[in-house]
Amino acid sequence: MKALLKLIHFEIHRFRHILFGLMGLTALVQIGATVLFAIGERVERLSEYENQAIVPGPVSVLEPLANNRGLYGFPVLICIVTLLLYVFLSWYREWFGKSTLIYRLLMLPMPRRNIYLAKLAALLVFIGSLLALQLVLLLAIRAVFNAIVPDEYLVFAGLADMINTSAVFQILLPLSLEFFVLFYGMGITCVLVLFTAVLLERGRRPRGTFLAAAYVAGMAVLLLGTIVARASSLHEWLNLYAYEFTWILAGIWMVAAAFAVWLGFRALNRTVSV
Amino acid sequence: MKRYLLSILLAAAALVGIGSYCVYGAMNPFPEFRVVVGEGDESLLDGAVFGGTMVRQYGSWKYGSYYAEVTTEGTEYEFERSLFKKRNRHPLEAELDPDAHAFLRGKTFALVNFYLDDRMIVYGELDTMQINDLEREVTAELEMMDLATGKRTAFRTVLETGSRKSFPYLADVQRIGDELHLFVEMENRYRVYVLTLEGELVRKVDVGLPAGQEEEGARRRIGLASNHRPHAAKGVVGIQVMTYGGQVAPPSTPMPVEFYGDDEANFVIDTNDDALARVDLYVYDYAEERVRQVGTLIAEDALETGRSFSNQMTDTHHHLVWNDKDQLRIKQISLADGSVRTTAWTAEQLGGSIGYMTLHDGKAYVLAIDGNGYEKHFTVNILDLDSFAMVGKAGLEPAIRTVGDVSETLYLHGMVFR
Repeated sequence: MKALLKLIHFEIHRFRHILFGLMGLTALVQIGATVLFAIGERVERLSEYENQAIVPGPVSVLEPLANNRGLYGFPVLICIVTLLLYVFLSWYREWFGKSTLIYRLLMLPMPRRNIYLAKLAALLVFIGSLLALQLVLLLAIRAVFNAIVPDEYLVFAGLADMINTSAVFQILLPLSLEFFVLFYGMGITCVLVLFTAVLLERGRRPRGTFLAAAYVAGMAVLLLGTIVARASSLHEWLNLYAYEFTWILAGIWMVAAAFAVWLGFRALNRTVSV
Repeated sequence: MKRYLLSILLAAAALVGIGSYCVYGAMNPFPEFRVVVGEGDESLLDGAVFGGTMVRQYGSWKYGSYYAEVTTEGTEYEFERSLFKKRNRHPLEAELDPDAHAFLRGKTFALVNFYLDDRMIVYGELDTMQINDLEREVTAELEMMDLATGKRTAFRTVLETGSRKSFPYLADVQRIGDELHLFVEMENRYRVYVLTLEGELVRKVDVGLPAGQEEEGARRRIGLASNHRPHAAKGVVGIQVMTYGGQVAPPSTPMPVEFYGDDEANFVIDTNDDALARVDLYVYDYAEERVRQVGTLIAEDALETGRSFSNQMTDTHHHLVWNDKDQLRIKQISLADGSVRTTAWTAEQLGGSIGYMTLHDGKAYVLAIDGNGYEKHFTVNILDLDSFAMVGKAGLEPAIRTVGDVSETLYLHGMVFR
């Protein structure tokens, strides 16, 4: 266990600069945009008030969030793409980095599955910490906006309303625990499949490439098939109620995740070499 | 330990952040509304689900809009709707013992496909199959269950074979004695197929209507009356003949119903210009196996001549219901003697302008909306169609929730029964 924790720390430490860069970018763009929009609202309202031309209307932080979804969502998408690349990078750099670290990793006196688990755990920590940051940033955005816009024009907005302004936030931070578990469970399953595909490729080079491609294609058909099946009326044809069908499809995802882990461990133990 | 501080801090931030968010979500920062029955029996709203939008507003400024469904139990917002829980109950589950619920698995929710009495439940479906290049076959697939023993029987019977057998619609299933009667609309005709309980086709009965003499410009449209309990044992099926435009002479000689015939000249086209002139009500009597006329309603004013009305037949009467936002009118034809009675309710009597109306199980559910500007109050009026009596009233509780300067209102759009 201690060895695993050390490995997790090792992974996190190696990615820290990129992670802090992503955090900084997100904070800078979102807070910076909020400051600019809030100043704009303040100037607009105070000048209207002075001119007495139009009665100034109330405003809340929802306005800049809803009107500039692209801007607020942009750093989030950068984070998602970076973490997606990290899924591959975290493995391939062990082979193609400055020193072939995989040699030392595979020789460590511990079960090889720890390498797999450490990379997965590190990724989860990155995702979790970026999500936590986004939550803090949403509260900070509201605080900054409320501090700049004069109180007499300000309408208080709840966190749920802020999340509801954008599809990106709605998917990243679903309000229902069920959807939270569902979305992130599906995401983790996809990561496990990609991890295993990398190990299949590394384990049986050069034909491992075809093996990995076939595995990914098979899983894509299976997993995307469940989503299509859920959206269709297949359950009626199978004489099942929709919720029963959902349980079956969730079971397929869980089996796919378990199979990916088993296959990944097996590849790591038996076929992967320097 | 200090060496691992970065990892510990990141992991702790992730756990605390996501954990706090889940607690926030579980606390549900959204208002909880409930439909509360003020007058009448709460069972009148069994299975009723009202759809609406919860809107937050600050003065006249609206923000935050969430679709929600509200019942007598509480509110369910769209974002919290579980995919893993049973959502839609089959309408017949409430009338069957739990042991018999398995019979409903995989079957349509349309009650016209069912027959239920204290002895058995029957389910029927029609299917069309191309049997060769020229011919099609219309078959009935029936499944029955003896409610006492749970014994199931299923059979498939060919009803028709021919070149143009298409789009058959099963409008009613009945057990009359030891026979099953299937009331079918097909090829623009109504026909009843009588089968034994073993699935043998015994006879076919063409449902004929008096033809009527149409004035020039008048057009007829024929449709079946909707029944308040389509699956229940009943003696008759209602047939409405709507005449649009012109003045129409009384019905004369009987002839088979053919309302969208081959002949272009007979093809019925309703145009928006045509106003409803009259509705002739007929019933097909299962025991006598013939059609008889029950009565006629003459459309009297702009509300009635409009093309849109709702209808429902109970055991004793047939009802036509019209409404606009200011009034609701029910016209009732007695199935016994054809006499007509009318009742009308104004928006004021109903507690606000009429936003939605639906008929269910012999009752009219009328959603009235009161209030101007941004403060709306909703009243659900429940009227018994047979007696014309107001049997229940319900409302939202709370009508509005206020948090600081922000008010949260659930705007109801309509309702369904599940």
